[in-house]
Amino acid sequence: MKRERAQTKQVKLDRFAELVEAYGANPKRWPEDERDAALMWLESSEDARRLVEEANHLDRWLESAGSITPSPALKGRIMAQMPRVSEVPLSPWMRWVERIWPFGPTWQPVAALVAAAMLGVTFGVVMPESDESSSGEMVVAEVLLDMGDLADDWNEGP
Amino acid sequence: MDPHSHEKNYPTQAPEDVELVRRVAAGDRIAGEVLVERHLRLIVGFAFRLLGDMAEAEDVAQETFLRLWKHADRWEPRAKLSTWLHHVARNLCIDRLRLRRGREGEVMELPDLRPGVVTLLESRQRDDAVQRALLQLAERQRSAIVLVYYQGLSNREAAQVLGVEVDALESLLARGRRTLRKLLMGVEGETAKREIVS
Repeated sequence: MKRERAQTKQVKLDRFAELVEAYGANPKRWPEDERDAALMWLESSEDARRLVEEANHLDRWLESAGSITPSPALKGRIMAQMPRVSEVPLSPWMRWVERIWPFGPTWQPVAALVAAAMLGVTFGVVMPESDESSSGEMVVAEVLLDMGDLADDWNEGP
Repeated sequence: MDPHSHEKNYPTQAPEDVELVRRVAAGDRIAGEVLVERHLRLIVGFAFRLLGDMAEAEDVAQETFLRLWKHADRWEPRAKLSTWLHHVARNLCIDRLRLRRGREGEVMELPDLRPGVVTLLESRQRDDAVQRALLQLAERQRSAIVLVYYQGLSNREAAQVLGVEVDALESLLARGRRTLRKLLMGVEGETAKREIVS
């Protein structure tokens, strides 16, 4: 039993050594799924602490390298390469719209359609509801009657 | 994990990047600027660590973003955008390293580092010494070290950029660290000797 436990410890410590050898001394770089177990080793094992101390020497070298700053002009060069809206590939829907309206910007027919629709809705709301008495024939008859009255008025002299 | 929780089972990533790429595909320049602001420094840093030349690193970063603009309408978030950008940038760096090898012979052959590094240490430029040591690693080891130590990628992301399993990534990292340790400890030894002599 004692022997088995010692072997298990050895295997785990081997893995700990592999982790430190690959990822260095800083636990934030250790694989997330093994980090907690590795930290437990670090707390409990002198061997583990020695391995981390050895790895830390190289880590300090690596961390001494400064950060890299791109030249200010680079961003401008990259943005200059970004396609303008007119160069952006069209979606299948826009390709279909372009096929039925090949005469220029598609906002023109769309705007015309929207304007027509809005006019229709506006008239629908503003105009009084139609009923029997305002049908076309009745309106004409009423107008003729009114004209008849006007004629009477006209014929009546002072 | 609920297999139905995500239609295509893509890895989790900042939704902003996915949305920004979609907007770039629709021609939104502000979205493009945000992406450049967010990722440019990292990609230039990565390319510089791989190539050791700032002008070339900037060219690689520019070409990387050009690929993003061109592929934005077809880009699918199978990996994080930063992983995709690193992958593209690394391939572009490899192309340049091959060109150099063609021009200069075996680029990865280790030259004698010490005289140059001693000079660098005299001027207290440890970061240059590290960069020189990095450039002496084989490209895959260098990429692995840079992705994990400088770019802050997780082991899985770094393995994805390199197109290898995590086990293979760990092997590259360990071999890279061993070589770096030898090179940089050699530098320390030389410095100590010079201090004793002077």
